[in-house]
Amino acid sequence: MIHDPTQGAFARALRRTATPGRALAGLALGVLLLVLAGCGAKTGSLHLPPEDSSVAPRVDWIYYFVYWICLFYLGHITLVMLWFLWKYRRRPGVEPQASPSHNTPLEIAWSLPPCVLVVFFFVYGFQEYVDISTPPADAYKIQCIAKQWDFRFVYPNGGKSKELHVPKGEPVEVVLESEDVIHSFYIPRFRIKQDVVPGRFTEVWFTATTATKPGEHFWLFCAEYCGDSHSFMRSKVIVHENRADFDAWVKALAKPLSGEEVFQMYCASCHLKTEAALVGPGLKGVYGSKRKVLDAETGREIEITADEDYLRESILEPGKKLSRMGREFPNVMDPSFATKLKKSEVDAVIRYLRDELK
Amino acid sequence: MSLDSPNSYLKKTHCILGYKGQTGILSYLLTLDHKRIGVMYLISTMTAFLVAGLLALGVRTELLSPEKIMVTPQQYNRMFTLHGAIMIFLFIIPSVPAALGNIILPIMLGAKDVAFPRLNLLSYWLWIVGAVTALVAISQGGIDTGWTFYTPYSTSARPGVIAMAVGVFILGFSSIFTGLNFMVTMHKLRPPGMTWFRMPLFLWALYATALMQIIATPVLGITVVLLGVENIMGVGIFDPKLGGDPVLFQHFFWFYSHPAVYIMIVPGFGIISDVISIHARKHIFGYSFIAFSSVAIAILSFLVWGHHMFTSGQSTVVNVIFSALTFTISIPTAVKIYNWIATLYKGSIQFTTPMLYALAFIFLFTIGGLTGFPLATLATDVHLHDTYFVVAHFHYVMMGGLVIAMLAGLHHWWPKFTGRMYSETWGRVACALIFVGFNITFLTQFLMGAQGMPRRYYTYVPEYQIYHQTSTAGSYVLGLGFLVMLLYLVHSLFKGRPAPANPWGGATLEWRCSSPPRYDNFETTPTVGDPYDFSDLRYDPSIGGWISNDAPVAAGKAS
Ligand code: HEC
Ligand SMILES: [Cu+2]
Repeated sequence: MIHDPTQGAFARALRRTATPGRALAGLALGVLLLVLAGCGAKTGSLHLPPEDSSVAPRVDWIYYFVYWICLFYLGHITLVMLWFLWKYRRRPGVEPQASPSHNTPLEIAWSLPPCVLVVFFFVYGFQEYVDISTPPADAYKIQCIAKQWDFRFVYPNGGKSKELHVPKGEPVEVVLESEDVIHSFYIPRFRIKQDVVPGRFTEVWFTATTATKPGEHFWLFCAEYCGDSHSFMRSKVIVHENRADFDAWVKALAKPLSGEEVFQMYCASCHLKTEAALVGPGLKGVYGSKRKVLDAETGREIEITADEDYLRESILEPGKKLSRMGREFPNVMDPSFATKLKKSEVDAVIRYLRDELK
Repeated sequence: MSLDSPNSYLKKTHCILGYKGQTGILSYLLTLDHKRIGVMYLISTMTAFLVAGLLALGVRTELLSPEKIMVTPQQYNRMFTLHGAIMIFLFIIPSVPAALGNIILPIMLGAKDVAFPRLNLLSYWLWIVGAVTALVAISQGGIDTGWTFYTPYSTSARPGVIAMAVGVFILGFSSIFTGLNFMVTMHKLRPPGMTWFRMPLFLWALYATALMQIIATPVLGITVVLLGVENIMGVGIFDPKLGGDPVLFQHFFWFYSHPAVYIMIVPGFGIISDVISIHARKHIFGYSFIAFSSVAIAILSFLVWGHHMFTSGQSTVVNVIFSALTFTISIPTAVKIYNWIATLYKGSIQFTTPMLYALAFIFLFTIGGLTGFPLATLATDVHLHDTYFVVAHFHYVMMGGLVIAMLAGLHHWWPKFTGRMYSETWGRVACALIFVGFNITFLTQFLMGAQGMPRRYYTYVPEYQIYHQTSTAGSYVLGLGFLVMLLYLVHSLFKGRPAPANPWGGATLEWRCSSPPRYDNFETTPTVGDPYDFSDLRYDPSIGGWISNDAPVAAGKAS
């Protein structure tokens, strides 16, 4: 049973594939591959989320360029391997046939196409990258302060928010700084990501091309592991239809925050509005309750009533008295609220705890 | 001792590699025999693999839902940190060189032992001390930094981290000593006639690995010392609060850990080259290309570390340079695949368990390699970095690549060092389960990552749930595959058919001595031929193995 590879299997395989059933199967496979690739990129595909920034379509183009070439390589490697496996499977009485154990021209020939292809990958990738990493000079600047475990945004007029608001169709540059460890600013729908490194400023820019519908938003994720609540460190990104809309929104921000807004923005990452604990104790019903606390100065247990003074002290000088004897919770409350919050905002949040979270 | 029949030899042994007059646990723990040291490494690293694998199943189970299923965020973070750290430092890095390498390398060379048997034993005990230190660190307050230990998170008041670092430091020495030992062994103990280009490719791969271990691992040591200096003496190196630079840590870390990635995978290339050739009864195609590419990879691996940091804020120019260098290392890695496939051409391919693993390796490693391209391409990496796409990519390379190659090698050499055959049927079943489970688990993660799911997340937005559930389901199949493997391998130790000297028809020297080998491996120094020339071997059904054409039919004497 000696085989001549040029005569037998390949020709027979061709003949066999030419039946209607196989043609259909082939077609189905082709369709499947197209679906896998995803043509309607604007609405998102199996691979990539919708494209909502100016760089996204170009990044996706490169992604698919690389993807198709890789699929071609995987495909032919697998098929040739399966073909050999079938054709040269061990059968009684059939000995392996002699063939050269190396062939320099062949080895060079199959090394060349990958060498050329990676040059294309490299060049496309780096050209687009230079764009992604160079903000235009006229970009609208927003400051972002990342800390465990949220992002905070400061707009040019001093207004602050937890959600990122931007106008559609205009380049926006976000200047990033971190108060503690490394975080990363990642908006998948915009295809951008930039680490936020303590001790230095980094920046990232984008032009949003889709406005978010009322009640909807894009996600901003922290993509660099930053501790316990890393996966909770995400913000909403809201794209306003036009600049006028956006400006009106920013203007309204400059007012001092209401008690509820302060709570949402500064406290909700650690405290729930119920009695259940998160990083810190739930704050429902704290006001007016009698509680045993650990006085950090004397190290003794004292009983107090949680009045306004106690709440104020808890917010402005956390750690001075530790709730539940300092046993259940780590003493990690942010010590800088005295500078971060306006006095009226501290009053407002205390009123909120007193009136709304009874 | 007569080698006439492998069975008679086996009857005189008490346990795996139990030698006459050398029984008892102490004779094992203090042995200078490379095979026993290798077996101890094998048991230790496989235990680490088991623990880390169970942790992975825990992580996957928690991810079935964005809500809490069984652990808190903090426990979850500790779990994935331990999974990564144990897998990398206690399993992947030592598994092939230290475990399989120790068992096989000297026999492949026709030598009696490695060049420095005492250093070898020291390496093993350093490994144990390092592992125990790390375990103590963990029990002293969980470590939740990720296996990458990025500063300043890792140094902000986490006492366990320093202890863990000390453990890693000690493990580093174990790795360096093993590398040195192997290198000297290959230089000095090759038998007459074995020129560099007559060495089996597994040895070339171990050589390249040793080179990287010796050059890269000291950097890990230095990093750990700097961390200590900062923490204890308050000198600002990495911590921005003290005037240090956290990105500097990433440079140090990846300057070691990128070569380490190749320390992990290159020995796998060696195993695959040998297994494919032997089980297809065909001379390896392009021997010198494969041999040189291992060395080329070893050198280039020192020049690409920056590609882990494209989004860290390092300068654009630096990123562009690292991207270009990364593409250069992809070529020698990728083209090898063609060599392996060309080896199959006109062969006589037998679908034994080791071969199935080797073939699975080709498929999985190809995917792992190809998905490196969108990560090396700068524009797409910005989107994909630190998402599940990266997680899937390195699992295809590390697990689909190295672990599968290690399993190929384990099944290939199992009869040699245990003297027992395992059940082929169950071997194939386990291989199929592992292959299918692995692909379900990690193909899904490519899609999830490209959709924007960040890695190391305890909770996630609901859009990603379906991907997570599919991936978790796959991981259970994978776990089942490993369970089956554990059962039949252990079973084979007690009930397995005694192994012939050469069950697969290999032409490298380790197949010339009995299974298991005697204490000093060979009675006489074997003569060396082309390691990939199988024409001199024929199958003898009466012993279920291969013998030399000149051997008389009845006796299974293979020399
Ligand atoms: C980084 C997490 C974190 C943030 C942000 C945070 N807290 Fe806390 N908070 C804690 C922890 C932990 C405790 C318990 C330990 C302690 O008593 O200091 C606590 C305790 C308290 C207490 C005492 C509760 C008691 O049972 O006695 C009050 C009141 C409080 N926080 C209010 C606030 C308010 C108001 C804000 C927002 C302005 C806020 N916290 C922001 C973590 C946080
Ligand atoms: Cu973060």
